[in-house]
This record gives sequence, structure tokens and C-alpha cells, in this order.
Amino acid sequence: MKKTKRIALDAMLAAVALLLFIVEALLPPLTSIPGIKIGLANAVTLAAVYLCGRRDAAAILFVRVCLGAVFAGNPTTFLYSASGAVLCLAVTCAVCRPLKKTVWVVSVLGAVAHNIGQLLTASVLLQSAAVFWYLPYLLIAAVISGTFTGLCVQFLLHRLQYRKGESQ
Amino acid sequence: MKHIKKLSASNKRWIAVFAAVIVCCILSIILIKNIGGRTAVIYKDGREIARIDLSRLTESYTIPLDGNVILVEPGGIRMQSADCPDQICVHQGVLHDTGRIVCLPNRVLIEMQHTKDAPDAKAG
Repeated sequence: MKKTKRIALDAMLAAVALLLFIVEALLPPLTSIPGIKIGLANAVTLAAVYLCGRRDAAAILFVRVCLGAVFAGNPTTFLYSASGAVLCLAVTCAVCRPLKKTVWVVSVLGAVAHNIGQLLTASVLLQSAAVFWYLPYLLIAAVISGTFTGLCVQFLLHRLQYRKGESQ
Repeated sequence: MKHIKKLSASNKRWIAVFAAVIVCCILSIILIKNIGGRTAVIYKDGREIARIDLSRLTESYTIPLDGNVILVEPGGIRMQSADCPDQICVHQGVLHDTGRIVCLPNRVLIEMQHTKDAPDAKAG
């Protein structure tokens, strides 16, 4: 891929991720348990890992987390989303190759890592391990929302591949 | 549409794994709900602020804690108001026997514990 095209694609994906992040932050909380959300913005990160490579996905994620905190958050929410994002990216990058055929599994594992990262930050900020009582709730949420966003990405990648084959 | 016609073996395996995880989570949630007591403990920044035996209260009162106001009433405790934008802790409602309310932005934690574990219950 040419460098200019790559930069443009990265920037567009970052913009889409940011937009999804902000729109999702505007929605009312789904449940009374803090930290449960669909994680639509993670779908972009996941797609970027496959479309642009891991390094570009990390850059897109970095831009999204920083600008997301500026547009729809405060320093505390930045800490939560950054810690979740870093762990999620690490797990996603680690398993994206071996689980290439089942993208939704990568998404679920990433979502689980994201929630564990947030719980770790919460336990440090609150100086209490009691937040880990939320782990079962968050795991269920991660499996459901991760499957949803993961399937979206899986279908998207499949369509893009199909289109690529058609134009050649 | 080959990719959604039938599930591959690895897909099935992962579905089984995640289903098992969800079942374990539901079981542990049920377990967690069945332990606990009637004493509410309030933490701010990890330090214990107050320990209240809800079963011995006769009248309700409020505890202001920076941006949060905690309402304590006989048999229940709730976050009455908070200065954070999401208001999740306020929407969590009243705690009676078990559970916890967490306010992440202000680092406040309200937790129900076994009354018999509470030091002041032993003294009483």
C-alpha cells in the first residue's frame, strides 16, 4: 500500500473510531454496573489490525483514546479507557494471526482483556480489590458485546475481500 | 455467504468455551449475592470512612462526602446525589443486604458486609 494511501486510511479509521466512541458515550448507561458498554470503537481497532497491520492499529487506537478523552470524557475516564485499550490491543495483536479465521473470538478475547484492564485501574484508583466482584458481570458483558462487534468486523472483512477479488 | 452457512469446528469449540465462561459467571454471581450482611461500609480513596449497622438504625440521615451525598435509612443505604456526569452510582439504587455501590469518578465505595465480621458489632 502506498504511504499516502496508508496515512489516509489510518486517519479515516481513527475518525470513525472517534465518532463511534463519542456517540456511544452519549448513550445512557446500559446497566447499573459501571463499565458495561457495547465497545463499538473497538470494532475499528480490530478491523485496523487486519486491514493496516498492528502498528497502524496501535496508532489509530492512541489517537482515538486521546481525542476521545478530550471530546467525551475527563482525566479519570481517560485512565480507564487507556488502560483497557492497551491491554485489549496487546491481546488482540497476540492472537490476531492464529485466530485469523475466527475474528469474533479475537474480539471477545480483546473485550475481556479491556474489562480486566479497567478493573485493574479501578482497583488501583479505589485502592480496593472489591471491584473484582464485578468481574463476572463484566465477563458476561464482554462475551456478548465482543461477539457482536467481532461478527460485525468478520462480515466487514469478508465483504472487503470479496470486493477486492471482484475488482481484480 | 459460505462463512455463515455452517460453523467450523474451531467456531464450535470457542462457542463452548465462552458458554462455559458465562455459566461460571452466572454461578459466581448467584454465590456472591448470597454472602454478605447488614453492615454498610463506606470507603473513600481506599480508606474506611464509616461502618454503619443498618439493622440498628431508627431514623435516616445523610452523609455528605465531597461531591457525593449518601443517604442512610433503616435497613438501606443509597447514593442520594453525585456531582459526576454519569450518575451511575445514583441509579444503582438502594442496598439492603448485599451488594456494593461504586462511584468511580469520586473513588467512593459502599459495600455491604457480614454484621458478625464488623468489629463494632462484637463490641455491642
